[in-house]
Amino acid sequence: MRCDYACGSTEHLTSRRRFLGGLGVSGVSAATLGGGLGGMLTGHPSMAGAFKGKRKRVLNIFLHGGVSQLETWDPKPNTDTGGPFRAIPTSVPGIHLGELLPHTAKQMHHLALLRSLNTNNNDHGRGQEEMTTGHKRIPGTEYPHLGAITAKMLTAEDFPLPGHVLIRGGGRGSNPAAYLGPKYASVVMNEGKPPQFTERPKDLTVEADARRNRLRSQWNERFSRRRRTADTDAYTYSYDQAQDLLSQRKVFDLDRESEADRERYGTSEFGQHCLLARRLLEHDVPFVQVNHSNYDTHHENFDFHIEQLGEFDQPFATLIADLHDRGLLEETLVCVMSEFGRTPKINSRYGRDHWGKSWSVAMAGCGIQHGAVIGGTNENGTEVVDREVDHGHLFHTILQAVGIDSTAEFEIAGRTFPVADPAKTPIRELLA
Amino acid sequence: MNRHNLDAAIDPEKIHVTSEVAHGRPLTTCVWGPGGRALFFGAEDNGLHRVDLESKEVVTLERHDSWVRAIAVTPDGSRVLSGGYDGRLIWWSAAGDDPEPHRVVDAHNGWIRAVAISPDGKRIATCGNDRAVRLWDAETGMLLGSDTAHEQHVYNVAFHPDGDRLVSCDLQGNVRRWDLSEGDSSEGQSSPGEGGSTGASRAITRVEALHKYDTTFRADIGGARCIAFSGDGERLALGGITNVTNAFAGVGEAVVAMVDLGSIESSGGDESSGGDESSGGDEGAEGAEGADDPSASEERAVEERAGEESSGAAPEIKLLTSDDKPRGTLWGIAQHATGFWVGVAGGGGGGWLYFWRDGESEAYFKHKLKSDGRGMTLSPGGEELAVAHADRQLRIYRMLADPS
Repeated sequence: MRCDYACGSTEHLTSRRRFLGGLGVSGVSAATLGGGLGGMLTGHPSMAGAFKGKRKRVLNIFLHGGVSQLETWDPKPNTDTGGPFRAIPTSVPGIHLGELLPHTAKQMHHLALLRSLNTNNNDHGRGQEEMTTGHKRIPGTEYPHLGAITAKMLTAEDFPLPGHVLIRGGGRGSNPAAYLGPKYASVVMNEGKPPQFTERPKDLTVEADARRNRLRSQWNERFSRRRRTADTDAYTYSYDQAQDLLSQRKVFDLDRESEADRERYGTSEFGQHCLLARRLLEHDVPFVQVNHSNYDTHHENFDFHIEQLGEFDQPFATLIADLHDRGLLEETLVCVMSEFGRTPKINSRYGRDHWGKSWSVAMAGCGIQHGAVIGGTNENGTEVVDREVDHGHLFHTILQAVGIDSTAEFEIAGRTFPVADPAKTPIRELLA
Repeated sequence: MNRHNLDAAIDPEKIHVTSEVAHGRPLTTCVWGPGGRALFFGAEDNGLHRVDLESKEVVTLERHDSWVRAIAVTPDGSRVLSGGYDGRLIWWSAAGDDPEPHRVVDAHNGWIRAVAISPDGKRIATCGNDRAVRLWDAETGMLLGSDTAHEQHVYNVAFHPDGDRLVSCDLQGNVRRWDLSEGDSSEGQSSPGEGGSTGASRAITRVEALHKYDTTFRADIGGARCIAFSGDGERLALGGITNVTNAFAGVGEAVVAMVDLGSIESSGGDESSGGDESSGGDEGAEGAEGADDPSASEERAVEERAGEESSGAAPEIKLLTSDDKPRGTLWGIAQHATGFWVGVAGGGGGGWLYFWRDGESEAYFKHKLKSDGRGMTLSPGGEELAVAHADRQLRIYRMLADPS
């Protein structure tokens, strides 16, 4: 749904900063703001507590193509579906991971495994959409990405950086904000490079740039008095954000990290992106997503998982350990997800196909149990036998873990939109 | 029928199934046992399986913790060696009368992808995902040496028929030769084992057709999935997948890269900076890396870098394929004693046997299989072959007229 300003509220003239932080952050009540820019939370009984406690962050690691749960979080060695890999012990007695995750296994005491997802979907696009919005896909309806909601709810007023950063290493180009408005869509770091157009052209002086911006602001203000829309606000916001980013460009510069740290994260693209994610989280960016591609292994699933998880394991484990050592894990919810899992049945090409009926995600950090396994599958992983949940339950859980009331609603142009699927509830056993 | 008459009667075009052995899991590989009385096969389980071809009784030998896809039988027929994805190399009694292993060695860190036994039966070679090629004393199990010059997973290894040379091929199609009769060398990265010194490996060539980095899925695909020397030792056949357009769906063509080792021997050089690949015959460049392939220049650059360590003549490489451009991977290759080559394929195009006349690049006959082939072995007598199938069947095929 397009975000416009049909209500004509004078609140639309409020500084963009007011809205960036969302209700809980700005301290302005929902009733005061009403509908408007980016979608305000309604006067739901729980709105006063829409955001609770110390400001949190979310790191979402998206393994594109659909990582195999049997090669990672839910190994079934020596069964007809188990494949050739063994299960290895972890830092938590009794919990095993696939042998391709030896470094991650040492961080199991920080992790929680959800082994009972049944999203009942085998389509890439739909899976990506449903896992990151928490809603079933409905044709013609677009829901905001987890990153957009997080950015809206957890970005502090006058925060100089974008609240929603996508570090792409393959995968979809951007994360949508839908009715929350384009300002909450992802700022993209393609292949880990700083966002585009955040560097002042060399032949443009600081003074000349300032003059240009003053003139632009005057024209923008005049234009917005009569023709303001979310899109024009987003354009204005983009310019303002670019100005902020100019002064904060160093945040995106991995060269400022020590050589030792760069080595610890490895030379792979994903390794460097994990280090970049740490850097962004250290600078309080509320939502960071790192994409790792690709796991769509219809052919030679095992060879390719050796290759891809070989890139994933050490950087991910290093990142979890670093976040913990620096005290950031207490304030950061980490989730490792895909659009779906992979078939227990091994096809004739040693591949695994798309599978949404019984698969897993891993989580770590604030608000959740540590060293825990929630839910379970049968002996060979073909069906969930304990605590079946789907993307809707997971979405509630992520938001609740970082203190966002997932039962609240956004009000857009007089219509209300639930933050998360109201038919679903958080996974209480997973929450701390 | 005497040998001469038998050889004359063997005709791939008369191939037919003579028996099937069902197994509980899809098969991964198979090797004919001593005297032709038994077959060994691996499957998607942790066993090495021995089937008596008369009784069809299957005995499972268990000591691996993962799948077995590397099997070799000693020339005297006394022992069978299994290499597992658990990194273990295990010696067994080939007669299958003793379910306990004769010896278990943790040979590699990670998958063992291939096991080979020297023609005299005295040495064993293994290779795997730890990028190493290792040489073992077949009698004592002692490590004789390791070569770690490959920079990628080593997919296959074979002894030259003279027994003094090993060749190996990795994921990126890099082919190296290890002269076992030489002393220590400054080149390569070999290290002697407890049993004494061995020479170091040298790059022979890089077979571009056997590798691709898929930029969409950001992963490598390739390597020699099967390997065989010609009977005279002049040529090395490497089977795999080429012209890959989608690595993760396995969209590519089954192929044999025939490396003419004789061409570098006769030119006075024994090393090369890269191969000169062509399909040979009348088919021009079909099946080879196309001139318009955007990855070709990148691969050549890699090849040039790989060749920096050596110089010399490039071996000629012919690509053996079929006019139907078989979609899949070649999982088994062998030269029959009468001269023709036979390969088995599996993948998107299903299972196929392909037959090439020696020296030709285009398959002259192909035979559709009921299921994807994952491994193949010729019988000691040459009139039969066995295929390990994905549909949980081991099938025996005879290349003689069906008496019925």
